[in-house]
Amino acid sequence: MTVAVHRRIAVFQDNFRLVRDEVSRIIVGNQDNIVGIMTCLLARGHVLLEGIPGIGKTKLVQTLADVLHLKFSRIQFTPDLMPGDIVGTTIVRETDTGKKFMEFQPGPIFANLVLADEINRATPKTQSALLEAMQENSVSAGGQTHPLQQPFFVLATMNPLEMEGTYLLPEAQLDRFFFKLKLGFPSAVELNDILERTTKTHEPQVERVLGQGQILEMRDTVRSIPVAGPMQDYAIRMTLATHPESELASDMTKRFVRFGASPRGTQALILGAKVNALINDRLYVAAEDIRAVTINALRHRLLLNFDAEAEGVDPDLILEDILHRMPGPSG
Amino acid sequence: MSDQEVILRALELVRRRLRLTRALHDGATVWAMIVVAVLLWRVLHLFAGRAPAVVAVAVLAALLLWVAGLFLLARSVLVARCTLDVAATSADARAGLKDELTTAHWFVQHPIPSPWIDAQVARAARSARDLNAAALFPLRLERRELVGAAAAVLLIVAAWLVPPLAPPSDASVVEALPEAQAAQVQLLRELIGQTRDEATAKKLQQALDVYERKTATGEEKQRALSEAQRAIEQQEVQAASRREGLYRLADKLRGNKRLEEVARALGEGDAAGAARSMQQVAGSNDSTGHQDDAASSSPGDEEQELERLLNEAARGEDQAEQNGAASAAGRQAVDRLQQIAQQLEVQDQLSQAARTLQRLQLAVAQRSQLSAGRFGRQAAQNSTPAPESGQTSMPGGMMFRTTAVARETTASEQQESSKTGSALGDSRADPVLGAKVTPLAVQLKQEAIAGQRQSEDQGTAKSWFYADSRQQKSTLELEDVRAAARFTLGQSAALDGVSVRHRQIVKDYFTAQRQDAPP
Repeated sequence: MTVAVHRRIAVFQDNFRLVRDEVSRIIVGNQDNIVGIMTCLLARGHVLLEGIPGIGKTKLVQTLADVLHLKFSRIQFTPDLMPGDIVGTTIVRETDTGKKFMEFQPGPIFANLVLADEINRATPKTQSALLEAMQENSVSAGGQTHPLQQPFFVLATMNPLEMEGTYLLPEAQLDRFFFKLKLGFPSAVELNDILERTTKTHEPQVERVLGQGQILEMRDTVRSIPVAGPMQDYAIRMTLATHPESELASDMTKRFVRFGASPRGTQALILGAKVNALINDRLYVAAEDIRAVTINALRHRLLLNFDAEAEGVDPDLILEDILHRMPGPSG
Repeated sequence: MSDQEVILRALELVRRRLRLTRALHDGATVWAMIVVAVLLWRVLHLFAGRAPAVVAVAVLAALLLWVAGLFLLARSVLVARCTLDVAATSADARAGLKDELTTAHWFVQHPIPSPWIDAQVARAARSARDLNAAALFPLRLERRELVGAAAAVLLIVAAWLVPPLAPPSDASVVEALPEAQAAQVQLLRELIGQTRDEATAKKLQQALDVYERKTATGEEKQRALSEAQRAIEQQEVQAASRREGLYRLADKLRGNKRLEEVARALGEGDAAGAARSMQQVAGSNDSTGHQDDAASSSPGDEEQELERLLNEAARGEDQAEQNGAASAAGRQAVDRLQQIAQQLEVQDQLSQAARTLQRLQLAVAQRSQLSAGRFGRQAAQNSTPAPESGQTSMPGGMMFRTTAVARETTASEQQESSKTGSALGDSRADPVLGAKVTPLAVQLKQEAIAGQRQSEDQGTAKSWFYADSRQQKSTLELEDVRAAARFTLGQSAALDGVSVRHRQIVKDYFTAQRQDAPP
C-alpha cells in the first residue's frame, strides 16, 4: 500500500516537472505563475491571469495547451460577444428526408483548456455565461444540460491598465477562479532571454508531454493527500481573519475590508496546499503549504472598502499582514 | 514497535525534556525576581534616609508588583500544561520538520484507514527515530539570560558597596525642632512661676500640658500657645492701665508741693522712684504693709487707695496733731508704691518672656511643616497694618502698606473705593463701588473715647436723680482709666502692629474693603 502511494507521488512529481520544464522552454521566468497555473489545473480550479499587455499571458496559456495533450480553444472577449458565442446555440437542421430538427451546436467552451482572453472586455451578461461552466462543469442550452469534458480548465486573462470600455468582473465570477495570478514585468536578464528565444530564425518548440488521463490521475492524487485537523483549522482561521467582523480579524482587516473570503477560498487554500505539499515531496499538508498559496487563493476574494481604495491598500498587503500575525497551527 | 509507538515514545521524550527546560527557565525567572527584589530593597535602603515617605510608597508598590509577578508565574506554570501536541509542535519547530510530527500525532490520535495516512505516519516515525531530544532542547540558559544574571549580580555588589545617602538638610531641622520646643517648655515654666494672675497661670499651664504631651500635633501646640499669649496680653493691658492710673495720680498730686517729687516720679511711670521720694517725705518706714490685699485689688481700687494714703500723709505734715496717723499713712503709701513697682517690674519681665516665647514660636513654625502663612494666621491673629505706622509685621519681614492706610480725618474717594492707576496716587480714584465706610482712623478714635463718653452720659443722667455712691464713683473712674489705657494702646503701635483691642476694627475695615473691591 505504502509503496503504491510513494509510486503515485513519484509519478505526480515527474509529470509535474515535465510540464514545468517544457513550458519553461518557451516562457521565460514566471516559474511561480507556471506552478500556480498547474496547481489550479490539478486542483480542478480555474485561473485568472492579470498583467499588463505584452508580458506573455496569452503565450503562457498557449504554451501550456501545447504541452498538454488537451483540446484547446480561445475566446477573445469583446463588448459585442454574446453568451451564445461562448456556450453554443441550438440550430435547425434538416435531414436528407427533409425532416427538420433542433441541434445543439457546442460553443468554444466545449474544450479542455479554454482561454478567455481579456475577459473584462465582455459585458457581465456574457461573462456570466462562464459561471455554470466553471462551477458545475456543464452547460445548459436549449433546455438541455451538456456536461463538459474533463479536465475542464478556464484560463482568463485581464488587463489591469485599460479600464476604458471594460466591465469589472462580478464578485460571483471572481470567486469561481481558484487562483488569481499576477504576472510581473520581466527583469533585464529575463528580457534578454526572451529576445534570444523569439528574435531568431528558430524559435523553441514544445512537445506534448502530458495527456488527459495523466492529468486526471494527478488530480486524483492531489485529492488523496490527507489533511490533519490542526492544518484544516489553520486554513479556516486564515479565512476568518479576512472577515472584519471576525474575532481573528487584524486591525488592517477591520479597517480596509468590506467582505472577506468565501468558503471557496478555504477550499482553495486546502486544495492548493495539497498540490504544494506534493510538489515539495510531502504526504501531508503543512502550514507552510497553506501559507504558500494564501495570497494567490484569497487576493481576489477580498472586497475592500472605500478607505482602502483611497489609501491605495492592496489585498496582497492585507493578506501579508494576516500571514505575519496568524499564529501557526498547534496540536 | 509500530510507527505509532515510535512517534508517541519520541514525543514523550520531547515532553520530558520540555518540562525540564521549562522548569529551568521558571527557576531562572524566580531567581531573577529574587535578585530584583534584593536589588530593589538595597536601592530603597540607600534612599531611606533621603525620602522616607517616598521609600515607603516605593516599597509598597514594589511588593505589590513582586507578588503580582509571582502570581503570574505560578499561574503560567499551572496553566501551561505540556501535552504531547505541544511537544510535537515544539519538536517540529526545533527540528525543522514542517509539521510532520504534529500531523502524524494527530493522525495517530484520529486513526483513519488510508494508505496515505499510513505512509505519512511511517515517514514521520522515521523522523521521530532520528529525533535527538537532548540536542533539540538543551538544559542550559540562553546567553542573554546569563548576561542578565551576571549584570544583576554586579549591580547587587555595586549597590552594597555604595554607602547610604546622607539624610537631607531637613533632618537637622527635625532634630532642632524638639530643642526649640524644649526651650519653649522651659520658658512656659518660667512664665508660670512669674505670673501672679490665676487665669493667666492656668492658660500657661494648659499650654505647657499640651507641649509636654507627645501626641499633641503642631497645630494644637500653636493654638495652646496662642491662648496663653492672649492671657499675657490681657495682663499687659492691666499693667498699662495701672501705669495710666499712676499718671493720673501724678496730675492730681502736682498741686501739692510736698509731694512734688512723688508726682514727678509717678508722671514718669517710675513707681519705685515715687516710693523712694515718698519715703523721704514720710521719714523712716517700718510698716509691714498689706501685700496680699494689694495684690488682689484691681488697678482702680489701688489708685484710689494710694491717692487717699498720699493725701493723708500730706495732710499729716501740715497738722502736728495728726502726725502719728499721717506717718502711718505715709508708710502705707510707700509700701503700696513699692508693691506697684514690683508688680510692674514683674509684668515687664513677663512681657519680655512672652516676646521671647513668640519669637521661639515663630522660629519653630518656620522650621516645622506649618507654613509661614498658617503660623501668621495663628500667632499674629491679624497682621493687618497699624493705622499710624502703615506697616505690618509679618513672618519674614515688614510689609509697608502706607498707601493702603487711611491718614486723612475725612473719608476720601481713594479710601472708600478701589484704587487703580498710578501708585503715586496722582490719578483719580475709581467711582465708589461698595458701601461707604468710616475711615479707619476715625473708627479707632471713636472706639477709644467711647468708654469715656458713655461714662459721662451715664454720670449726667444719674446726677439729677441720685448722687453717686463712693463705690459707683470708683467704678466710673476705673472705666476712665481703662478707656484711657485702651486709647493709649490704640495710639501706640504694639509689637505685632495692631493692639488687641483694635484688631477686630482693623480687620473688619479691610475685610469690607476687600469685599467691595471689583473682581
